[in-house]
Amino acid sequence: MSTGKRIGQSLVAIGFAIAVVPAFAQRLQKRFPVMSHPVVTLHNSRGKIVIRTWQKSEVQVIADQKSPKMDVSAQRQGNMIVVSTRFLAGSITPAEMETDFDITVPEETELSIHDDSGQIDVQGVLGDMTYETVGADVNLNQVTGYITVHTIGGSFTCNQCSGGIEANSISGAINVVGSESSNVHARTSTGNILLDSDLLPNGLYQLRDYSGEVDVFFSPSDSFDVTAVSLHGRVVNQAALKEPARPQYDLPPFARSLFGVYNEGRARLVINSFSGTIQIRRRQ
Amino acid sequence: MNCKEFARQSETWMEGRPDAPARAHAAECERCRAYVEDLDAIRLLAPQLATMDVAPPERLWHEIHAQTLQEGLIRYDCEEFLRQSEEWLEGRPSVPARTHAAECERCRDYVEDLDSIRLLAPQLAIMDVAPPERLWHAIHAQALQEGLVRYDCEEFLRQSEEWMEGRRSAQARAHAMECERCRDYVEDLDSIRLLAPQLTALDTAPPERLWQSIHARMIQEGLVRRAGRPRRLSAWVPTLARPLAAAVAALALAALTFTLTSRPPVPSTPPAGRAWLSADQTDLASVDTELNHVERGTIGSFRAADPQVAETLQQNLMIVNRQIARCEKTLEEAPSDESTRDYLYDAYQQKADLLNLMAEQNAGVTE
Repeated sequence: MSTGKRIGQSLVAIGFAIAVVPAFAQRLQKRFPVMSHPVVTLHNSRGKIVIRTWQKSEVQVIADQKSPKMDVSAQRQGNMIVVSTRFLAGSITPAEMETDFDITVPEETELSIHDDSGQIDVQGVLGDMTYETVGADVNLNQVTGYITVHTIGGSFTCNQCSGGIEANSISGAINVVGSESSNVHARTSTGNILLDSDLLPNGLYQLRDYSGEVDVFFSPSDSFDVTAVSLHGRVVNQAALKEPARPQYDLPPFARSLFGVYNEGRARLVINSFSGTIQIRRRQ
Repeated sequence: MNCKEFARQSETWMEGRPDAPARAHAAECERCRAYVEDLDAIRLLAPQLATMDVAPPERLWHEIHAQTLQEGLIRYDCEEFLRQSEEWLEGRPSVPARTHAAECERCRDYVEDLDSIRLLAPQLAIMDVAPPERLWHAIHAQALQEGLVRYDCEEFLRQSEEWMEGRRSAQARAHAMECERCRDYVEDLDSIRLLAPQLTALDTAPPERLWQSIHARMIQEGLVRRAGRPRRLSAWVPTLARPLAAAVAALALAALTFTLTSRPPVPSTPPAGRAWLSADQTDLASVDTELNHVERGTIGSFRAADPQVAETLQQNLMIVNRQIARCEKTLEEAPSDESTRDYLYDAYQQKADLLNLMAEQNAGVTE
């Protein structure tokens, strides 16, 4: 047998051995009966978190651990379900730290979720919610309530949300799409901000960026009063604005700014950027 | 003889010819005795009832109603079903009630709710279901005042916020004198209170993350107990290895945050003269120096269990530092540019939060 063939056979054997040795995987599944408006808190280091709703008065927690070096705990404290992970061993690799969660809650659940890295997907929850991540992305779909998000580098996307939105990040993007929120407060440094949602009458939309792009889409039926300032960047506008209703404040001479009223000026839109581009564009 | 048997013989009782077992049962069973009294009352009133249009007592009426239902003389409808919901909750639904629930969707839904409540009931007994916090406080204070509950360590800890605010009840003072552990705790509180003026005349709370870490650490060291009724976000930060002293030292970082968050809003037109501007710049310089000092201490020992997290934090710290540098440069050229100064404040705030987060990650690794 040639050397090449022997090596080939050895590699096949090694590959087979790797394939048949199962990786560690442990599943924790718990159900907790709860009363109305329960609170779920989750503190995870790394992994994907999926939260969905059902009609039962129960919270179901399914955790998939990738390593025995992590401990997953889920317990009830009154009407609050507390879920957390912690390291059991001193040395642990990122892959070993990973724990994925699939949590099902009653619709009116209040959430407090922390995930350092990974991803958070939430669908259909109707309670107030807080998310805190370092690098994990936060994706919310059809949720209602007061939403507070703090990320360092993770992005935040809110699709068809309603209620108040308060999102802060340093380099993460903030996207609010198809939503009906009367209070949106988005702030990021280098990430982009996208607001492609109805601007509700009496709504307040404050978007603040350092160097990222800010894009706001409006439709002809929208009614808003806009203040947009980019100190060292650009302001691009497609809205036919009327005279501003509010007094303007002093700005440096080099700043690009835009003040005006669209239709009756019912919503208030305040956009600020240091060196990024602000674009107010008509929705196609 | 049981109650059911007794009820079946009520007619003989009404006719004044109860047998010995019925009498014995009536003597033993309070409910049947009361029933019997009703029957006796009716018997005595019977001659007058013939001419009066009065209804029988409620309890008797129930029995009659149940009997007529059982015999199919009246229909078992939704109203009847709802009337018996208490029995259902107690786990003793009658056969007609079960039959009706099987037939009627509306009542079936109602039954499901009742069943859920019934299933949850045992847990409710051991769960800490409390009235609204404010009401609970008022009840608790009243109970304490009336000596209905004892003033112990738990009570003392519960009132620590009032202690911090200088509102110390006589009971709290007395307990602190007697209990060494609580006295120690009080000394810590006093230290923090003494530090408070340095934390600026703050009317703002420390960042939630920082507060949680201090709180978690205090729980870990047994200085405060985890409240029976948990705080909403008590599980945010699990357990951090940061010693209490370090946690208190972290207040210095918080102080910076307070300085930044408590900054008055920028006036639309800056006041005349350079005094205001120069004071603001001095403030900024001290914030910058302090942040750089904290940064050097944090970065030197920074380790995070997850390299991806470490990288994200470091990259973002660089972003924030660049932002600070650019804003500072702009301000050097145009010192009265208040908009840029706002961005600089934002960046300082972000840097303080980042350093705090890095310290927490560090603590998590060294735990």
